[in-house]
Amino acid sequence: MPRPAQRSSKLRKLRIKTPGGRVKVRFEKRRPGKPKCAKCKKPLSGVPRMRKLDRVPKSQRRPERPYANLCPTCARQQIKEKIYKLAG
Amino acid sequence: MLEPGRVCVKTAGREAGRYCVVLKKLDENFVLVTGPKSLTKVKRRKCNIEHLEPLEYKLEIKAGAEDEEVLKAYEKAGLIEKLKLQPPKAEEKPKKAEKKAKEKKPEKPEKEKPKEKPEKKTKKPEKAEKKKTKK
Ligand SMILES: [Zn+2]
Repeated sequence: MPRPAQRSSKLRKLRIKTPGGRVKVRFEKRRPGKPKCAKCKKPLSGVPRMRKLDRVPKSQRRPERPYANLCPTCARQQIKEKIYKLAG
Repeated sequence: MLEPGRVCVKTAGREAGRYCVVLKKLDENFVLVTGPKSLTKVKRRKCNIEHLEPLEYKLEIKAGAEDEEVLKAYEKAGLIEKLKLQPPKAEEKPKKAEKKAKEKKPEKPEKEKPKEKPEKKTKKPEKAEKKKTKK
């Protein structure tokens, strides 16, 4: 039997195959929610959904363009608005 | 709209938000584009039409012009100051100055070293003598 703390549903259960062929349950903290576009709240693609993001290279954590917190369509809109403001 | 010489802004990818110039039409959907890289950091490359936002400005260049010609056209049109771009010459000059400085620096220490060495030589034997006395 697992410890009482491990029996609660606040932990995520992973089924893992050991080298000997048995299946064991591993307990982990739950994954964070999907990152979302700051403008339209659509889930962002290309961003890993995990804790300890500092273990991932920076280039794999977010898109390599300005407005990395926006989805591509909103980012394009933002860039166009900026251009038109500069043009007056 | 996207004829040779048209100044655009890229709206997708790693170069999004940077200025570029259309050089020639390749295909229904693609054009050849350049920053040039020394001026706006946009590489000379193929680009989808839908990823470009055309501006009102136009440069006087031939289709498929080279980067140096585009730079001269930028200067002629006075767009470098208008778009607040950093001209590449300002970046190149300090690099050359650094290289010259680096080339000069190693020469000076070589001349100075022989002067210092005799002093060190005089010091070292003293230390050695001290060590010998300690032993
Ligand atoms: Zn969005």
